[in-house]
Amino acid sequence: MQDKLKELLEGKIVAVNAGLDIFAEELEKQGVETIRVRFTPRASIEKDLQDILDAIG
Amino acid sequence: MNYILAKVLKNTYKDSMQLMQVTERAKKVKGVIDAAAVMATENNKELLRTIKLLNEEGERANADDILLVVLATGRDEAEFALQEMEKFVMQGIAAPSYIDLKEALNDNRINLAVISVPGEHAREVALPIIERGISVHLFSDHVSIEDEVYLKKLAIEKGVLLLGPSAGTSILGGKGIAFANAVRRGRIGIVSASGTGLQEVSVLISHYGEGISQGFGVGGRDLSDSCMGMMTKRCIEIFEEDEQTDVVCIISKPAGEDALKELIKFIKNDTKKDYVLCLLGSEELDFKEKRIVQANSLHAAAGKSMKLLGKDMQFGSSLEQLLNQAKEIKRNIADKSEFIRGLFTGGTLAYESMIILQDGIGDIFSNIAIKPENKLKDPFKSFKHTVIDLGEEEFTEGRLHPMIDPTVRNIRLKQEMNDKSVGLIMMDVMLGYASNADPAGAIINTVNQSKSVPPIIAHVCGTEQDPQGLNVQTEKLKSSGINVFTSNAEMSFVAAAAFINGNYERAKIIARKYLLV
Repeated sequence: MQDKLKELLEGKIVAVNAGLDIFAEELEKQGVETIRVRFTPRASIEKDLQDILDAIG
Repeated sequence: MNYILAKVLKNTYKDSMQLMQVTERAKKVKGVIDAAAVMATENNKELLRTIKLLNEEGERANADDILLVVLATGRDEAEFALQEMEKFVMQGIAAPSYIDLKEALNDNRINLAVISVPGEHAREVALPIIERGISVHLFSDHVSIEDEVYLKKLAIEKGVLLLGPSAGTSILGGKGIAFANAVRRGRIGIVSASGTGLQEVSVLISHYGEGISQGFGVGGRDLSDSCMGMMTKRCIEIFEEDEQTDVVCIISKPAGEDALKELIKFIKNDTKKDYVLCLLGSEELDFKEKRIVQANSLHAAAGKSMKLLGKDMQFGSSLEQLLNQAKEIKRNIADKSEFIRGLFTGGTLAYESMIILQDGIGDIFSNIAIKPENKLKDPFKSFKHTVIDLGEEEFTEGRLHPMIDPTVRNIRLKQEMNDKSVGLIMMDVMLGYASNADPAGAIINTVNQSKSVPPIIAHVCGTEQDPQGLNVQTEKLKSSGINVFTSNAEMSFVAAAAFINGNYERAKIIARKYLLV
């Protein structure tokens, strides 16, 4: 098993949270170190370009 | 004289959580009877209209505006409260610090991402995280099936988990992710396509003295023919290798035909541990292997998991106790009050309840009806026997899930209590991380305002270790005359038995199918 997954399943969790703050708060209450990340949607044209790049591989 | 005042804050945005906190604080201001701070979406305006809190000023507000409304004991009190509410909004809630995702991912210790951004952006956020070999719990709804399949394949290639999309709950290494309960750790592993399904089974197992090794929420579509149980199988592989797990419980609504065949073949041929399959509403499956059993309810799934562990105990109440409760409720139902109304915050609990009720008393109307012909034309109006999933989109657009914000259910509860044709109201009360701080309090405040109340029954899904505390919540409900049940299936069975017109032989058959009696 991949090391990070093993640590996760042992409860040694370090998390990032993108979206609702309440999920970060609840993880912190359980003693989980949680980094809150800023989420700003990309402009749609940029997303279309990225999708093309993803498809090219 | 009571007085309503409203104020519109043009082109101002705060998220639903912040606005709910403003509402809660406003309700504590002297002289305030009711208050609301919402984004003025059509949905939210309709709700305010229903409870007669939308005046002309409020009608003029647009979806980009914040609408503050207060109902107070007089004009001065209303004006003061409105000023306070505006202050609360402007002060804001202490903002935590955020960093960019790219910067965050430089921290090599990160092994989990919890993502709840709008569904259309979920792929762009999840992709770089999975590529870095980090597991994801994806709470977001409305992720396309193509994106789900793509991200799950990538996750498997990278040796990590993609739990979700639409994953309400996971329990990883003893930590509750998103909506989860503080349950015991133990030797039963759960793979669930349903958040409240995972909550219910893990809580019941914990209540009866066992515990959970891991609880993987794989998202509602993992056992569809598009996903073919990709992540379910990966989680099963993990459990097969895990020394802490002896029994694996799999929870889902009916699976896709091909996905189910594939899953059964996989469990029969590629596993050695004991398995409980709870595919709510699916047909009887035939297993020759004693180590693989089927369960028709979440209650039975928890009980049979315990049994496979060798814990042969009475799981749940006896049939006699349940039938006595049904008879007692029947005695308290007024003559012409012939319908049941179920007001649920947990979608799978609503679904399970419909399955049991339908078996006992026939057609159940719903916004998530089992039979297409029983789908409610207007989800805001009940018809005959009705079960509502208040977590569905039509109730949550522009506001928080009812497990966090009880407003929508309180409004519906008032309506049902005023309907003379209603003989019984049933509800789920979800405790745990991220749920409302006092869901039972919200219910009894509404119940206690009403002069005549039909019998009400509730199931509290939670543990004593949950932030809300099981006993405190249960006692609050009981103090208002509400009957409380340990499992959703027991509550639903008692409701069905109370309306089964004395045909208790039929009730016994239903009990044996869904409960371990």
